[in-house]
This record gives sequence, C-alpha cells and structure tokens, in this order.
Amino acid sequence: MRYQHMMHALTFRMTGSLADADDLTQEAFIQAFRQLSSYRAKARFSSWLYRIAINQCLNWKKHKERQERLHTDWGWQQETADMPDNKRMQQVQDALMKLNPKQRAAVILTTYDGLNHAEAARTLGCSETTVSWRLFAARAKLKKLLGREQEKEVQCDKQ
Amino acid sequence: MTNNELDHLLNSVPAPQRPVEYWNDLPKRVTAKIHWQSHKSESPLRKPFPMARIFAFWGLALTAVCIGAGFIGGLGRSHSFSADTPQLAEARKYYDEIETLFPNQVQAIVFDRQGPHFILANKANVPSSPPFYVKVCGPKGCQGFVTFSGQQIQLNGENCEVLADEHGQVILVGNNRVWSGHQSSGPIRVDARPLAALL
Repeated sequence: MRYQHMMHALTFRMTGSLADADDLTQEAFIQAFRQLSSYRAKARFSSWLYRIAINQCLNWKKHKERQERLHTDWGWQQETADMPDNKRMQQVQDALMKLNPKQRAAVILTTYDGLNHAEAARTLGCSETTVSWRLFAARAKLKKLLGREQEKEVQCDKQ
Repeated sequence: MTNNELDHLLNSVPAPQRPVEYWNDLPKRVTAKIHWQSHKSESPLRKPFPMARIFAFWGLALTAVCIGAGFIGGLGRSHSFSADTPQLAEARKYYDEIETLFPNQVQAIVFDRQGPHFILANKANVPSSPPFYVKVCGPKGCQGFVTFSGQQIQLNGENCEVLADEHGQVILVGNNRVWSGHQSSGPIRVDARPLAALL
C-alpha cells in the first residue's frame, strides 16, 4: 500500500492532476509488472518503482495540453476543494507545474521523497552534477514564484 | 526565502489522497488491464478456438517457467552461484512486497549471477501456498530459485514438478526419478525445502 501512495503522490506532483495521477499510477504498476523480470534485488525496490513512474511522467509531457486544461479547469478545483489548505496546495502545485519536467522530477525526488542527489541521479538516469544544477535552477524559480504569492497574501492581509 | 524555508513550504502541503476504496481497487484494475492487454495481443484478427486458448495459456505459463528454469538447465555452463541466507531473506522481503502488489502472480524468484529476480504469471493463478527454496549443486557450482508447489522446473535437462508432501517436505518429481531434500543423484545434489525453514 505504501508504494501505491508513494506512486500516486509522485505522479500527482509531476502532473498536477488527480485524474492523470490515477492513470499514471495504474500505468506505472502495469509497467512494473511487465519489467519485473529485469528488476535486480540489489537495488532498492522503491528506487526501481520511482524510475518507472518518473519515466511515465516524463513521457506524459506529450499530453501537456490536456494537463494544462485539467489543471486550470473546474474539475481540478472540485477534486481538491475538500482538501485542507487548498489554496496553498494549489499555489505550490502551480509553481511546480511552471518548472521544466526534469527540474520538477528532481525537486519531487529530493524534497518530497527524501532521495539524496546520488539516488535521484540513478533514478533519473543522469549525473549527480546534472541533478544539482536542475535543483539549483528549480529552487531559484520556485522561490521567485512562491515568494511573489506570499507577498500578495501579505498585501491582502494589510488591506 | 532560504532553501530550508522553501523545503518547509513545499512539504507543508500534502498530496491529495484517494479514498480507501480507490486503493483497494487499484490492484484489481491493474490486473484486469494486464489481462485485457494480453488477451488483446493474443487475438489480433480472429477469435481463437477454445483448445487454442488452452494451449496458448499453457504455452505462456510453460515459457515463463522455462525462462526461470533455464538457469537450472544451464548449470553445466554457468559459473558458480550460492544463495546464502541473507540473500534469501532479501528475496523473501521482495517477494512479500511484490506479492502484495501482484497477488498470486509470483511464479518464481530466480537466483543468477546478478542476484535475485522475479518471474510473474500473466494471470493471478499461482496458488497461495508457502514458497519453497530449491538449490541444485553440480560439478560447476550451484543455482537456485524460490518457487511454489505445482510449478514445473527443468532439472538437469529433465522437467520436474515441485510438490510438497504431507509433512511439508519438498519433492521434485521427474519422468524417471524423484528427488527429495538433501538427496544426491550422481554428480547432482538437490536441496529443496520450505523457504520459511531457511529463514
């Protein structure tokens, strides 16, 4: 069950859509089933699943237009309306969605899932240096975007 | 904003959760889609005869088992391999995780030179019986795998069925001979017993 939650959270943060997260989680498990004979128990099982899910999400960018529509439409609002701190969730998710998908994947793996740079590099199939640069660029952008949102909130409170 | 503040902000919002029913149904949906996809790929143009379906099913099952058993069959050509208790414990851990994801579909855990890996059945028809560990040692070394009662393996070129007797001991039944745990047959030594007894 923990893997299912983990995969769903990861795919949601990568796509910003619950509907797409549902589809991608299902597809990731189907891929895991098909590729299971290639899994070597030397690696962590969770890392192997991450890699499958991340690849699914990066390929998913082909359907970006669909995601952008879903992300902004009424459906997304409804899906998250009953979640606590919905406004902040939407701000954070909006900011994540403005990142390049590979930068977003680096942030999700390291910040949310607690992988170190070496583990994230293995999962993403790139070097640690690349992960570091992606994180650096992603953090700069997120700080700018979320800082702006925080400033707006402060101004609203003052008024 | 510092990196720590950013991390705190990002982690302050959890991902939305699905209801319990969604998680309970997910394995069923995944399994159903796998069946549907495999069925679709098996019958591209015409509806197969029932007998053809049966042969196709058993063919697929036998192929999957043979892939795993190929490591045993290739004993004479392979390098030495030993599956010790830590490896078995690790394999058991992964078996538990994978069995949770794909119930009744794990056919075998094969031990080769690169470590344990898994063979899954296309359908959830592997009986939920306790797993056995079968280790075969010959002049060139040892190989082994974890499997279940009723599965077939190839032992020294001969197809054998893995069965459990009434005392829980593992027996390998071939065309011309029967091996039980700790029994030698010429240069081949077979050690087959319940996995739980080894951990």
